[in-house]
Amino acid sequence: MHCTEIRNLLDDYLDDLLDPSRRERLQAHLDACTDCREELNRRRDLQHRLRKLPIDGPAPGFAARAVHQARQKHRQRTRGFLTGFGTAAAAGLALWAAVGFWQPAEERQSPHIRAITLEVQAPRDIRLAFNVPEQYEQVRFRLELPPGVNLANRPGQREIVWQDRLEPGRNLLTLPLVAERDTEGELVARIEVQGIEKIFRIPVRAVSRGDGQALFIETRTPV
Amino acid sequence: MAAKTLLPFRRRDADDFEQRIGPHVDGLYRLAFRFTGNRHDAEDLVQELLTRLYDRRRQLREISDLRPWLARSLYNLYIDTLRSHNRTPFSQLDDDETRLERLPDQGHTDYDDFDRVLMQALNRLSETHRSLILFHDVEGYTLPELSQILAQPVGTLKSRLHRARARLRELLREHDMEPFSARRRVNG
Repeated sequence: MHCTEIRNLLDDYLDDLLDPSRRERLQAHLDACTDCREELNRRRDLQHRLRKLPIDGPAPGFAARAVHQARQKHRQRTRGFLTGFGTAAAAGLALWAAVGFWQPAEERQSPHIRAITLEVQAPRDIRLAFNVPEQYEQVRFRLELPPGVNLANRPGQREIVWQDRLEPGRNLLTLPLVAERDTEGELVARIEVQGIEKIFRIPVRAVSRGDGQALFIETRTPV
Repeated sequence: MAAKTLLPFRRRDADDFEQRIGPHVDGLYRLAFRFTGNRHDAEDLVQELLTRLYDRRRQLREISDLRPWLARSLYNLYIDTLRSHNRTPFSQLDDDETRLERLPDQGHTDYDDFDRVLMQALNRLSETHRSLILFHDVEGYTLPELSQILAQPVGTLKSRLHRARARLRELLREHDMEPFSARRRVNG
């Protein structure tokens, strides 16, 4: 091997990318050639200096703060979007249904509720709005999905239960639904506060070529 | 009055995001610092990336190897930032020896003389060469990882890396600052 050829292989040698026979021949040349050995040392030294280049660390707590701010900014944007959607809903895109104020336990399918129509395998956001006249704390929500319909972000989960607060006016819930096959059933929303439960049943139909478009559901009239 | 948003998934999504991204934030910051050269811009770059990623947090669950994926996202964002800063046409970024004005350096890193010359030489490289050296030689990304990050075959990246190193050595020689050469002068 000549020096020119050796120089072309030095980077691969340092990166440990040479096959054993080439490595052996290169090593033999280096043992005999001072210039190539010095070139190798210069390159090794440069790699070491690059790896050790100083860095200014981030401000204390940066990682946690950055994650928190990402979440906060998302919430701010989401709120803005939903408010805007409400305007569109008032202009006629909305499908109105759901809660008025609390009465003793009752179960009904509101005449204001139209069926949700989904296209099979096409995820769509369904927005439910619950209108209440006053604030309720520790409200228990329970949603049950019809067979063949999944939450896009929770495949296989048929039921969601959580606690939240209802504030006076409109309370919005977004459900990313996706139907896995043609089906008909009901989306059941159970809302319980202070031992009183209201149940809402929303017909859901999934077809292979859907025409679903009105996917905003809200109460206009207290039930 | 603004509507209240009922978000049954929010807590779980947020926790999930934090668990998946949290361990990578320091590495992303290091990379951002290498590209931008100062803490302020590095923090801004990482913050902007996390904000964008939060909107895609469900997609993150489907990515098995996040390190190169996140590095690619950060690099793309950095290039976008650089483009808007320089108003540089897209195609020029791939050209060797294209001169780009870097983001302003307001850092307080305590470089020694050699580090300072080394940084100047790195900043004189084309963006393609500089990025390769920063990823591979400074931050230790492997060629297969870089193949994912930069969407280039390993063989192409290897050749470019060789050329980038050769160009860096050439620039250092202009300053008579190759590490071992200085030692040799003293000894000689």
